[in-house]
Amino acid sequence: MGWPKNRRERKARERMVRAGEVKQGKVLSLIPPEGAPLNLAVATIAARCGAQLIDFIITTLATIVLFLVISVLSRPGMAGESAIGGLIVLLLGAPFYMLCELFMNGRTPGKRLVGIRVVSRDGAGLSTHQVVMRNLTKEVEVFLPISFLLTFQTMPSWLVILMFTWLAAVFAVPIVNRANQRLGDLAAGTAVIVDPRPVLLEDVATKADQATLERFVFTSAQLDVYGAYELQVLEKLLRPQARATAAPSPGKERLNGLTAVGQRIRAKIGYDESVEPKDEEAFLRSFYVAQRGYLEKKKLFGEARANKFHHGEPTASAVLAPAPGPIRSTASPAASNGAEGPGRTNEPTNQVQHSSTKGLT
Amino acid sequence: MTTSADVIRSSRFRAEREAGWQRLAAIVAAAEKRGLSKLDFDDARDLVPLYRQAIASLSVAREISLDASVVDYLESLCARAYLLIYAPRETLRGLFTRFFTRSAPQAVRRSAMVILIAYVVMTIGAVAAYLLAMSDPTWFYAFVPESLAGGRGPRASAEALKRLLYDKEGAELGGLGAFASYLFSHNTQVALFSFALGVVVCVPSLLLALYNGAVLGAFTAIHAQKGLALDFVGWLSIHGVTELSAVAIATGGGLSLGLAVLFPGQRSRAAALRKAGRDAAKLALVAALMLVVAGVLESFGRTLVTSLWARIVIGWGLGVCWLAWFSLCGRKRGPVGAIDQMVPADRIGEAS
Repeated sequence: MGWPKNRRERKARERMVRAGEVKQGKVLSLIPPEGAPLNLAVATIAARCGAQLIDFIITTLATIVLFLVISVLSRPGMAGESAIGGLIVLLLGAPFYMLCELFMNGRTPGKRLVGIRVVSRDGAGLSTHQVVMRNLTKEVEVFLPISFLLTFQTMPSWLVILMFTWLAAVFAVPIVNRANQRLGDLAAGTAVIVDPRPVLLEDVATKADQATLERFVFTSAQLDVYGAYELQVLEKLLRPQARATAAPSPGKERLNGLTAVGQRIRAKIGYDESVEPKDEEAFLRSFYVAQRGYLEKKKLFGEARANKFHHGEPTASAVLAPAPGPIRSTASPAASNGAEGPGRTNEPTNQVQHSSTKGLT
Repeated sequence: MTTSADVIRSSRFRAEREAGWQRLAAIVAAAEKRGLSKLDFDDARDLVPLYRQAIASLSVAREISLDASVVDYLESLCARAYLLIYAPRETLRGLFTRFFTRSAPQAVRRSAMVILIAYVVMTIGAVAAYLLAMSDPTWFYAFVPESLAGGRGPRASAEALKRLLYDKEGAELGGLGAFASYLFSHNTQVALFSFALGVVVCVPSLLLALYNGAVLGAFTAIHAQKGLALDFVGWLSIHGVTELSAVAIATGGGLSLGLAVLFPGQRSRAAALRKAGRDAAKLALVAALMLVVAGVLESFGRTLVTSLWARIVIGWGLGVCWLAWFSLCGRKRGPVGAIDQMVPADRIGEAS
């Protein structure tokens, strides 16, 4: 999967990730007691560091404010303020995170702002023990070495080296881990995920009216060419709202893109009639509906087709990739000559359109 | 070959169920905004059935639908509803009640053996250092770093030592002020390290316990040489009983982690460590609590209460209270709450 190349692409991808259209990076599969696995996007390390930073700023500000309040309220010479100060510092440490995560359902203020939350990996609810465990270990794992390093001038050099090694190891664990778990997450059996945001897009199939569907007719042989992956790329292409925000001038560019894709599809499946540019969208829609109906019927009878490379494969192995979302093109050697059809790339929609128009002109 | 939109099976499937999904989404949004308890009666009643229906829809959609947006939507919706329905249902009061009346004392009782080992090792360190420092006072410097000694040492006069023990003003730190600096001071660090380092097959924890005992023994020795042994014990007792017990309990927590690594039994090491972690986390909380109490005692009690016997009575009396809490509370199995019933069998230990 290609990385976003410039700022615009990155923004577009982030938007799609947020909208739940694309799942990016690592995926955590949770099995709730109901038994159907839920695939959740794992929070990136950057997001978690950001949330931690926000929490740190919040607690520090709260500490400072409370200290100021105390120093205003207390008479000069009263000795109790530093004792209360000590208690504040203590309570705004680990207990703050524990109580927040317990009462805000796996979130702290920082996590809430960033849009991530803690879940239990076993699919049951988050338990008190898990919250306590992951925050106690955070104390030892992260805060203690960092606070030691702040005073490292006074420490023997072997201890400084030891602490640096420890910190490097601590930060390496979530990078290597499949679900970005740090040591405390491993001990508690928790993981941090991106808060799922359900967005229901409209069904592309219901947008096509009966007249169009009857105008363009496809044979079984024509529908046999593509698989689910190409279908879903076409689905994204036909979805107006995803692109309307991304492309600067949706009208003309979109039409060119549709024409290019339409011509490729017609060439590939051997559709003889020529289609007017203004009818291109109607053609693609009816092709989508026909193709989806055909593939779903095949699927019901146990013949799932992941993509257009299903021909050489034996039927039994032609199963859909288990992960929903963008179905990645299977690592078939033929994938490199993907110059035809909408299934050329699984970049976000505007990407597909963009590259296909470029191919045309 | 024609296929019209309303004969696509997955489109009909979606059309029939979409209203239910939308309703679930609305209920979930409302519950996340205002809390589950503020839901209407109808919404509260329908939340779980709608969630189950959505999960069933998700399973079916994965099988029959090639409309990626529906599967993605249902996945997010179900996850959101799942997180809401299986959210932790703790109240602050229930949390504290359970911790103090059941889980903490039970965890301490279950770990009695390792805590005892920690006490024994600390005592061995103390006795050894005491004997060494009695025979040759310069051993004191081997055990006690300069920062900890604070002017006390073999060369300090009896009067100076006595003044430090009974100092009413609290000279340099100003009485209560000692508390704040105390919180991150020596014994807290020792407790933290002996807990955390226990994972490394127990050895660092035991060495720390031995060393901590040695510091104690060395201090006792220099005071004993000046005939101030009892005064020192009194000075130490008022907070030391609690504080050293906290260190011992933290060490015990660390040891139980190390033992899980060394002798995992039938489990895998990771599983054994996770299981030991259940009690160890509670021991850490108990130790933290005791350290805070010890901090309060050290800053308030030691300067306010200067009579030797009052110090001893307060210190050891509190020690007896701790012991009573650990040994008497949570003997009867309490009423099983809703939370306990929800917990799967392999996680029972953490709720009790």
